[in-house]
Amino acid sequence: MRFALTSLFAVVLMGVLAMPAAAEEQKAKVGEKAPNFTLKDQSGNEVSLSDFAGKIVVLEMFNEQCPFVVKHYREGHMNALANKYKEQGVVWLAINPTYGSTIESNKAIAEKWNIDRPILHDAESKVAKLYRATNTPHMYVIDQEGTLRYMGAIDSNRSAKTEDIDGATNYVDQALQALLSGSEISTPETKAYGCTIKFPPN
Amino acid sequence: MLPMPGWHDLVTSQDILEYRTTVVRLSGDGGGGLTVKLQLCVFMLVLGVMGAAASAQQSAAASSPVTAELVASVEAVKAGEPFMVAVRFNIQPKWHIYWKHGGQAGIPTEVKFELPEGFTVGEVAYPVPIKFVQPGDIIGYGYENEALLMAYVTPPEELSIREVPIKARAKWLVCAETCIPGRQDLSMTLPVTDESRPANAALFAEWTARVPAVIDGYGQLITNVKTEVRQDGRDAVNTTTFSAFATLSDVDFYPAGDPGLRIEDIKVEQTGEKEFRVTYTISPLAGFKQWARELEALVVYTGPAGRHGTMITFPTPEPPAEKQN
Repeated sequence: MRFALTSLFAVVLMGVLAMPAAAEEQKAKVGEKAPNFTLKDQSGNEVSLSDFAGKIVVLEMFNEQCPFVVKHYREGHMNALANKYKEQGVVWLAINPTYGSTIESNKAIAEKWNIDRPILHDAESKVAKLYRATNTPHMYVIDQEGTLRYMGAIDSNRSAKTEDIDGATNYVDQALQALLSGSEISTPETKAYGCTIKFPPN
Repeated sequence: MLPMPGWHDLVTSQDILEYRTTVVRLSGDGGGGLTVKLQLCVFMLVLGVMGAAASAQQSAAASSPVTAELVASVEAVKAGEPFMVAVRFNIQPKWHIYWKHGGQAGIPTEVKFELPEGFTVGEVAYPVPIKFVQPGDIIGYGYENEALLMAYVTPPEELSIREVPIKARAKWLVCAETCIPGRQDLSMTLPVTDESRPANAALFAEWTARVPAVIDGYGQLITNVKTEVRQDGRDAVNTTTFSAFATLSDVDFYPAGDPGLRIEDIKVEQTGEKEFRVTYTISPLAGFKQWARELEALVVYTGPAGRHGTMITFPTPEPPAEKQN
C-alpha cells in the first residue's frame, strides 16, 4: 500500500514537473505534430484540427484589414489556390487572430470576398500564439499524418501589390505540390511577412 | 549663424501636385464657374506633364499616415565639398515605421538616393531606433513621430553642370493597428556654387548625433564585447557580455535579422557596476542550410549624454556540414 502510494505520488510529481516542458513542446514546429485546436467558424460551428485527420490541412492567418492579405484576395488569388487543391482533398482553414474581430465580422467578410472556407474566430489569438504566428498572412501546411510541414510566408515577394504575385514563388503551392507528389518540400520554413498580428493587449 | 532656407525651397513635384489638387477642390466647393474650369485646366496640364504615375502616387501620399520629404545640408553644391542628403519622415501619432532591421514582424524602411554621375553617395545611416513590444510580445524596432535617414554625398572635384538634380526613392511599412506599405519618389535640384552655403544645420546636427557609434569609435560607451555561442544541434544560445565606460541605464540589445534565423528570448542583465550580459536564442528555420555567420546588433543605452547606441557584431551557429555523396 505504502509502495503504491509512493508510486502514485511519484507519478503525480513527474506529471507536475513535466507540465511546463510539455506546454513549451506543444508550440508549432516544422517536422513535429501540429498542435490541435478548436475554434468557431463564421456560422458559429466548432471546428477542430483533429476533425481532418488523414487529410492535408492548410492554415492561413487572416485579417481582412491587412493590405498584404488583401493582395491575395483582390483578384481572387487565394480563393483560386484553395480551390485548386480542394479538388485533391486539401482542407483550407483561415484563422482570424485579430483582436476585436468577431464571428459576425468573419461572416461578413467571407460573404464579401466569396470565401467558402471556414474563417475561424481566434480574437484572443490563442491559436496564433500556439502556432507562433507573427504576421498576416502567416501560412502553415500540415500533412496527412498531422505533422507540420511548412510554416511562414505565403510567397517570396515581400510586397503588398497584387501584380507582384505572378513573379513570386508561392511557398504554400510549392509545399502542397510536393506533399501530393510525395517529394521533398524544398522550403519548409520561411520568415512570414505582412502586417503584425493585432494580439489582445497584454 | 547662417540663414536657413525654408522648406519651400526644397519643395518636391509631389507637393506642387498636392497643392494644385487642393486649389481645385477648394474652388469646387465654392461652386465657382470659370475660375474652377481655368484652374482645372492648369491642374490637368500639370497632371499631363507629370504623368499618370505621379497622380497615382499623389492619392497614396495624401492618405498615408507617413509623409516623406527630401532635405539637404546645403542650399547649393560646391565642387569637392561633401554634404548630406536625407529623407525626413513625418509620422502621425500612434503609427511607426521600421529601422533597417524590423524585428520579428516588421519590414525595414529603405531609402535610395540618386545623384548625377561623378557624385559618390555613402551608405544610408539609420538613427538609433526605439523598441516597440507589441501585444503578443512581438518585438519591433523603428521610429515614431519623425525620423531622418541620411547619407553623405561627395561631389566631384570639378563640376561642369550648373544644377544638381537629386532623387530619392523611399519605401516603408507604416503600422499602428494595421500596416500600410508606402513608397514615394522625391526630387529636388540644387544650384552649383563657389562658396559653402549650409542649410538645415540644426536638423542635421540633431539627427547625425543620433546615428549609432561603432565599437572603438568616437563617443561610444561600451567595450570588451565577447560572445559565447553554445550550440545544441542546429540551435544555439548566445551569451554576449560587455563592459561600460560609464554608468548606463536602459541597456538593451537590438539584433539584426537573417532570412534563415529566428532570434528570440533576448534577456539583458546587469552583472556588475558596469558589466552587462545579454542572452538570446538563435534557431535556424527548418530547411535552411546557410545563413550569415556574423550579424550586427545595436546595443542601446542611456548614458551621461542621453540615449545612444553602439553597433557591435555577434557570431551565429555553425551551419550543418555539407553531406558528402
